[in-house]
Amino acid sequence: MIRRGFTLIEALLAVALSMTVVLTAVAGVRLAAQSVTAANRNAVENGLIRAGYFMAVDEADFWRDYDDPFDATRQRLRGYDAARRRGLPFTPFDATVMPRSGTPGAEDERGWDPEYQWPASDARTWFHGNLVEHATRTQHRFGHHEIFAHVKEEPTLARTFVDGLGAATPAYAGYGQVRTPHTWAANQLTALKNALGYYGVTEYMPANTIYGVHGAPGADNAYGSGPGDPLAADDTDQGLAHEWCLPSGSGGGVQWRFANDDGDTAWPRGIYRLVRDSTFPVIPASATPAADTTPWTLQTLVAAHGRSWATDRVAASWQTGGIPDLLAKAQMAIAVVPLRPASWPAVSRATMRYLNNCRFTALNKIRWISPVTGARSELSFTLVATSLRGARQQRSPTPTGGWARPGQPTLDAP
Amino acid sequence: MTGRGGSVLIVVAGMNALLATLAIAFLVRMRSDVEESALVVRDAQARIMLVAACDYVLEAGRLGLGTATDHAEGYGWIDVRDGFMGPKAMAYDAAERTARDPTTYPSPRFPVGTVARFPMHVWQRTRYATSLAAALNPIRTDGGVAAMLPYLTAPDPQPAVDNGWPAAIDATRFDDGVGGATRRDYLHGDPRPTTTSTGMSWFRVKRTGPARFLLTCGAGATLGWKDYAEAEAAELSGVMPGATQAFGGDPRVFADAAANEARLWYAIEWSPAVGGATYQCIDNEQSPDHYQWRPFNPVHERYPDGHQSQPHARNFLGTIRWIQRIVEPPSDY
Repeated sequence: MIRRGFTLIEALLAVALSMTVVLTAVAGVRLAAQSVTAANRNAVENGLIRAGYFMAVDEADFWRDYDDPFDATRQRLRGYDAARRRGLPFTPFDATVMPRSGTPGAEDERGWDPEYQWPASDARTWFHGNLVEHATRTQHRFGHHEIFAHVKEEPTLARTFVDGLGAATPAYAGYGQVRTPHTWAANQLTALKNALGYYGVTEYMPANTIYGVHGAPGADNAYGSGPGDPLAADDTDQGLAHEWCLPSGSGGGVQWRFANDDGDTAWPRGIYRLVRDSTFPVIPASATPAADTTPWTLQTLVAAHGRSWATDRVAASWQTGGIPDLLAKAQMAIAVVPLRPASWPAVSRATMRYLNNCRFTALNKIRWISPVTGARSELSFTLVATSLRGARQQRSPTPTGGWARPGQPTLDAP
Repeated sequence: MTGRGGSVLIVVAGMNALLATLAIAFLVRMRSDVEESALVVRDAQARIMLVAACDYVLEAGRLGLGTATDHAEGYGWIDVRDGFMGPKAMAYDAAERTARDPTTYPSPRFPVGTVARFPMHVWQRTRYATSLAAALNPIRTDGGVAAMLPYLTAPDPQPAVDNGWPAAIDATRFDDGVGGATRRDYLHGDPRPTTTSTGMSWFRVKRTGPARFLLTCGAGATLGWKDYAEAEAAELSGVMPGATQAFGGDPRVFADAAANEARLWYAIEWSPAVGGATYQCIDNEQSPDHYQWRPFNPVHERYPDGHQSQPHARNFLGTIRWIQRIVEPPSDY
């Protein structure tokens, strides 16, 4: 008898074996598919991080987040506060901001010469003062060298000083009206400070600059609010311009103090001491330029570029917030892909430029959030790239003029 | 083949095909990712060359432009003594300064318009190379030889065993010929390129003004030649025999290398200023410490017995005043 079909046990075994095979196959295929999905997800994430990197390095070289040379609505750092006679990092050096006059190459030359390369052999570029001379607690902290270098060509140096160390020390008689041989460097320093703000002046001046000038710049120092304000008393021919060398500490708000209060010192300093405990940042027109509907006012921006930001402390009431305040105002966060599928990671980049501890820093951060786990990651790096002066030389002074080609007008030579 | 066997074959083949498809998709995705990442690597490599080129400009104004027998010191790209273009060893005297225009009289060593090319590679062994290999402390600590006592009387780590070194250490210790190595090898290193480091990055420097330079920063295999014709001209003129052999003498090989490399252009300006003509109060205002106090230039003491201390110069080669990325590739670099 020919037996056809299966017994029940055979059928059950066959089904069980088949199920095992099929389940194994399905698990394998599912695993493979998950691997491909994970690979795709990683590839998307890597691609976005790469995009963030290229956007960051492009920004480091071209400063578009601070000043878009093709879009007049995104050039707010080109503003100029005429009432206070102060500009911003991208303010063009036009006839109002940096008027040119005098004899090229001579001490009486004024304004910015973009071709001049500041040779150390040129006495115009030297610091004419005596850092060693001791005349503390007066405004005589370069010694009696205001007769050699001054913001004015013919200052009146009539005031008699008494050394603050004691009654036994002799008084120093004034000189009367003198003709000062060196006025170029002091005026470059003052003009660049007023035209660009504190970050700009420190970048434009040579690395060994002593920040301070004899004699107040008079009406250029228009921030004094009247009698009783220390800046108002600044307008004399003799002594040091207060904005450079008197530290802040008088309270929040607009301070207009270039010097920090490191060590309670009150004299002209080089860049190391100035930014050892504090920072000069470039403050963007908005920390979130893509979404901000209430960008800061011109006056706020000008004030933000005319103060020393304390960064040796997290927060102090008299320094209006310290580091958190600086980060909130100076660091821009920009989405790499503003409109993205929900399955893509949220990738953003942050840019911040500042001078601290003698270093001009272009800080970049690329951040991403996993859509699956919510994990946050960050890649932080700094770059050697285009400086502020380089960025200004890249740009046409015409609001929609785009990039300046060789030989064309720039923000430095409009 | 039975129908059952055929069915199994179809199922197995189908699953294999599916898995193969997934594997291929995975591999293609990974390969694409790697290729795109290579762009990032090349860009980063080119940016490192910007730092290298700036370092070259800083150092060459003061060092390295002498001859093999005349290691004369330079005084900057604009000579800090006379304002003429350098670097040069001797300052011009009064008669020479009167007779020449400092803005146009050419530098003797690197006149305006000069281009220098620097293909980079990693040495087999750098000068003064030391090994990270852990070793026993060779300093004798038995106290028996006073002159050789270490600075710390209880150094850490302690020698695990008596090292048996002689009391006197002299230069011959570097020249014992072990493995053929000599002290000279230690001093001079081994400049032969490591094979994996060649053809990866380079920079070019063109002097465009007394203190201004156009830098080309590259990551790729062209060795910094602007184009094949430049390499060919260097070869034919005898400036660099065999220059085109790196490309097999074939312009298409060069073109292929050029198409796959990153090139960035920057204008920079050198400044003789060194950083920080100021002091740092390393003893935190008023109290002396183990560093020098009352050094040169004790600036602005607040009190008669006060002391501020040393200047904070970061280097003695000058600084880079500004950097500007060139928006469009220049025609002449």
